[in-house]
Amino acid sequence: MTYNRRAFIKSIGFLYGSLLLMPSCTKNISDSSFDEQYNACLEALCNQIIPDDEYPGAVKTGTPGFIKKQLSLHLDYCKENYRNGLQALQTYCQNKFNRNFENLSSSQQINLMKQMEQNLLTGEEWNKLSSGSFFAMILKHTMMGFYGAPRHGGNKGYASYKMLRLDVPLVVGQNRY
Amino acid sequence: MKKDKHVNALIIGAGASGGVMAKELAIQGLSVVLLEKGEWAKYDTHNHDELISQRIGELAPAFGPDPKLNPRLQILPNGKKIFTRPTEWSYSHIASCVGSGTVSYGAMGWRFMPEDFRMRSTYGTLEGSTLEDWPISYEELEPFYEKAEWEIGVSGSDEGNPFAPPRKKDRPMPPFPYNSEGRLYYDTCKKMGLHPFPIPMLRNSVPYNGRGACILNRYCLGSACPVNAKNGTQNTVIPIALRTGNCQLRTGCVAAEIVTDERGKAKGVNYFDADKKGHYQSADIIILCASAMESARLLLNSKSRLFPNGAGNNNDWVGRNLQGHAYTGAKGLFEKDILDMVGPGACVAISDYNHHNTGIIGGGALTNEFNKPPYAFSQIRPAGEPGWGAEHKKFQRENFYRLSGLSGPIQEMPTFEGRVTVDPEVKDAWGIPAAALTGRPHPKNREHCQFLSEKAEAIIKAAGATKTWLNVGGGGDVVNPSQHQAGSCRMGNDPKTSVTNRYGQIHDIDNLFVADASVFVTNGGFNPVLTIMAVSFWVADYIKREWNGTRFKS
Repeated sequence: MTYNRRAFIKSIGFLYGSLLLMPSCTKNISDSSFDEQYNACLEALCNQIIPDDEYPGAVKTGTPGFIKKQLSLHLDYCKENYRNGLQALQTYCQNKFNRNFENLSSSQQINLMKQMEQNLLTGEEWNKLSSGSFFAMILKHTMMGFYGAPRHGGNKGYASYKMLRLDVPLVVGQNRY
Repeated sequence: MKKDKHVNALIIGAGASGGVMAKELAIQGLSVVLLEKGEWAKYDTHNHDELISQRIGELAPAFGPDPKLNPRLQILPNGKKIFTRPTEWSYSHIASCVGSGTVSYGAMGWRFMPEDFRMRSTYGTLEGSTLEDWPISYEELEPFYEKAEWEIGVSGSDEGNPFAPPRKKDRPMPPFPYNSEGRLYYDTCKKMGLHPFPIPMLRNSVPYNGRGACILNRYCLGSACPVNAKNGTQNTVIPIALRTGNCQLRTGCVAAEIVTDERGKAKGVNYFDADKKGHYQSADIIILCASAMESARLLLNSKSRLFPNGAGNNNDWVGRNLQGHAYTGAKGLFEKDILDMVGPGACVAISDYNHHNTGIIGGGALTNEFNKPPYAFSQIRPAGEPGWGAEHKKFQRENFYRLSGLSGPIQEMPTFEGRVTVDPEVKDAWGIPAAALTGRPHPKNREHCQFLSEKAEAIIKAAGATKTWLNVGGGGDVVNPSQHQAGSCRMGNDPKTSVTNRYGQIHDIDNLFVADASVFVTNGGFNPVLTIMAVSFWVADYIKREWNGTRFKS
């Protein structure tokens, strides 16, 4: 036999149960998956990725909460990257502007984010995770939280679907989310 | 290790192929065990949530595989190994549930064309490719396509399609109507002298087989059907197999290794049950239906003195010739709403570019697309549009009903190097060596994709789009077979350059069969699932004719 049964029996310590829908509505998400000191920074990033206009944006609809919640669920493999990326961003901002990212002006924030998007921030603080990878990750997760189903933590009140004139949560015809 | 009661037939995998095989053998009176890694899929688990869509749900695919338990790798051209996750295209997942992909697929039910079985005779050889004819013809498979269309249930009509392969009997159900986008492309194609027709679907357009008709749900691809109108093996052949009393379906079971004896006969399979306990199931006949990657992986992991490189692999063809489809197309922006979101979205097709295109080997069907849910739409922008910010949000709401595409599955040119292999160090949660994808796709794929994308763009422009752009597929450093994976245990008349004979029988092991897309020699320019079902009916037919209760007659 080419597999090691003993190793298999040792390594499976617990059953995974329902992978998709953990009973997470009341789950305490203030575990170690997200460092609270970066709350304001995360919000500022989400706010620029999907700002408020005539329709509520990412922050009003709970996207930062989506990200933090998913970091203890399906996106747990991204915990380190968030820690390293947010730390690197704050370090850069403190060195360059003497303040945190969230305290920069809106246009300064947008400029910085465009630079990260192009992977142009390449200082020492980015040696664990490139600014390009960090930005791509947070961009993707923000979009997911804002445009995904509310059950995952974001898109409160189906706000983005209403913006898109989608009928929700209609049950007739089963076009529900 | 528990020894299960011996049965006539052991089938690994309860998907498109395994479900068909189980029913055919159980009806014949053979005792059958159908082994499936996943569980029965439930609509309520999934509920049209695009973030957990089976397609590429960004959080997790609804019907597995579980990313924590099932690692896979890519081996890059420089030898570097990287882990892939089921949420990435590069993982090439196949749903782990009863019915497998047939629960949640887009359900296009295509027959391949006769040329798809004779690629080498039609086009000649291609340097660097394993392009070859199948050892069976379309004509031989035709009655089994018919079986699949009637027993699983296909809607459609060949009217208006001069390229449709010949058929003895119509499909059981009429075609789906076109939605607003479909009508637009239908009219445009007719004006251009092309030949549009409704996409054949494994979906009830009218009540059929004891289940109701499709309710045209906005989003369908990647979800189970809330009214059970999407036809798969889990709601057709598998229940029939179970009702015969001859078939046991065991879910939550992971096959680890095929056991062969010193004479080269397959004796049984070691597997783990849902409680992670080891079992040995012996059988007279073993049929692999686990998907192109997993069936090959199981063979490669079944090493013995007679087969040091894996069962049936003494000629080093197991895992090779691996292919999928290189999806390619174009998109356009219109100045008024053209999408009505009537589901499932994809409804019109042309086969004008499947074959006999100057300078192109093969080609692919072109269709309009399944409706894009909001997050997926947020990732689609023409070049030059911002990917975030206020403008991106404005574009999202202004163009949600105005952005339309045509795309299709370019037939890939398979290669010997493009393969699935197993990694000696990385093992899954059951201790079984993990699958690794390696080998560059053939460079011709990119050329063929450029060709089809340009054709798509021309139609979208003619339909009135004010802005169009190409999405050219193909390319990449490692083969990416995805959900249309095929070819890894190809059939052939020459045992030196194939893994099975024309009946899916492993050359060296006459009671071991492969009946899924692994046996495909080439993969057509169409979604492959109806062909998988037809091939499984074909292999089952051989087993039923030739098995006399104790051994094969011939």
